[in-house]
Amino acid sequence: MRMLFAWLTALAVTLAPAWLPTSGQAHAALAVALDLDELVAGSEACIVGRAAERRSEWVELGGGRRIVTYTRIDVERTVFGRERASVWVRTLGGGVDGIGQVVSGEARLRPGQRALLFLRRAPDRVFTITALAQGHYPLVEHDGVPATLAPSPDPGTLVGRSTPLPQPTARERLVGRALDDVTALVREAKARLDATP
Amino acid sequence: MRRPDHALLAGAALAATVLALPRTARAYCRTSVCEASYTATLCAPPSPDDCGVPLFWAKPCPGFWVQRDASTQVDWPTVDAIAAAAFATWANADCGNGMHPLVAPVDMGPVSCSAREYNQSGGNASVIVFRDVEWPYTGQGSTLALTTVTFNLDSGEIYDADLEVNGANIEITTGSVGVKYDLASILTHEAGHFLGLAHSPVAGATMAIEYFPGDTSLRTLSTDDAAGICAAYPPGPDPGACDPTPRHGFKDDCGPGDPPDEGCAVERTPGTGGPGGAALVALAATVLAARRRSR
Repeated sequence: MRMLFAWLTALAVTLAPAWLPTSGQAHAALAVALDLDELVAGSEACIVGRAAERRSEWVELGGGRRIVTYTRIDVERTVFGRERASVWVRTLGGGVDGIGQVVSGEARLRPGQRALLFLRRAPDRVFTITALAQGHYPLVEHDGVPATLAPSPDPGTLVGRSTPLPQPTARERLVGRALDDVTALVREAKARLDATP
Repeated sequence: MRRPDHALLAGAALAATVLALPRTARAYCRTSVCEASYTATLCAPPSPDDCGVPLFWAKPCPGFWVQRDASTQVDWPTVDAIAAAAFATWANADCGNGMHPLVAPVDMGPVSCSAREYNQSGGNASVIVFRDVEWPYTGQGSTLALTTVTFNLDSGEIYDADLEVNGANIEITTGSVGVKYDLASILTHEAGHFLGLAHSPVAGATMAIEYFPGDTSLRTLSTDDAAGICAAYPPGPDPGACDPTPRHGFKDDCGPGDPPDEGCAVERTPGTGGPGGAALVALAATVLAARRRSR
């Protein structure tokens, strides 16, 4: 029994780093790293939902035609913002008629996947993800354990500041934490920001 | 005196042995396209999330243009020189034995169009453009630069790649003193995306996922970056003449326009001061041949 315990301990020590959230992955196209307050302040809504369907098309955006993808998110939880049953979210890139476009560092929403999303509206009223992949946190489901947040698949390159952030980046604070903890953390940040004149 | 705890010693020995084994750390990644038009990555060594075929330029001499207005922060000649150096850094990567990757992007000079666009039937240009007045993507004012790569969904062949640099929200510098956001570092990183590379988990790599203002180290490639570009464009025999003209021809102004003739003609705007089409083809061939001789 002692031998079994010793071997299991050794294995746990050896393999633990592989299970921990990779701090490298927690850092993000070339974008300045935002802290949680900045991410919340820059968002109209924060939701938890499941990507249900999507479609890509060519649109006029940013002074040129480009491919974007609209993904319908069925909302399971509204962390803050107006309650909605579902929202359509626009992300840069996608595929239309044999042509693909990719923007490294943009969120990739996969149908069937649950995620926490920070959202804001473009001038045409369509929801976009705040700060590219910095506003996208896929949920990792565990058997019998609360879901935790993962970094967006292509986090992009996160750029530090000339002066250090007063607190860790949003990604550092959120990735690896349980969804309920994050919900409380985000709501607390939102309440504090709303109370600030 | 207590006897040694053999069970604990055995466990410790096992841990030490496993930790001493060579670890397959993740390294460079290439952008790929998977089924149902999902984009993903292909990494070395392979990661569980790998899928699809990698993005690549089919011709070894893709052309790039710097939008003629450049930036209020940096003039056109400076931007052009820095962009040329950024692409040359990748083209001259050390693949071992004096070899270089078989890709050498060609500086095609200035272009009038400031839009990031790809025309499916008309001419094109892969542009480097600054957004000095307003960053046009909502909620992304924190973005320094964005590269949009257009490709064939089945084969992964890259048709066009446009680099947008945020001059509206970011203080850009070009020297080695008083560095803020270093343009050479930004363009060298984005040139990696232009060539089909994705972000690398290796700290210190030009394609790494973290960069700090004041840092100019992204100007030079790490061994991980070199391994990535050499895998994407393995050294090979001189391909001979290479035509840097974009898919469906070159177009100086924005919009789809009329479909130009396909072929090797390189159109130039009168007065741009750039080389003519035949000269550009010759230049591309010379660059590739010279690099081959250096092997």
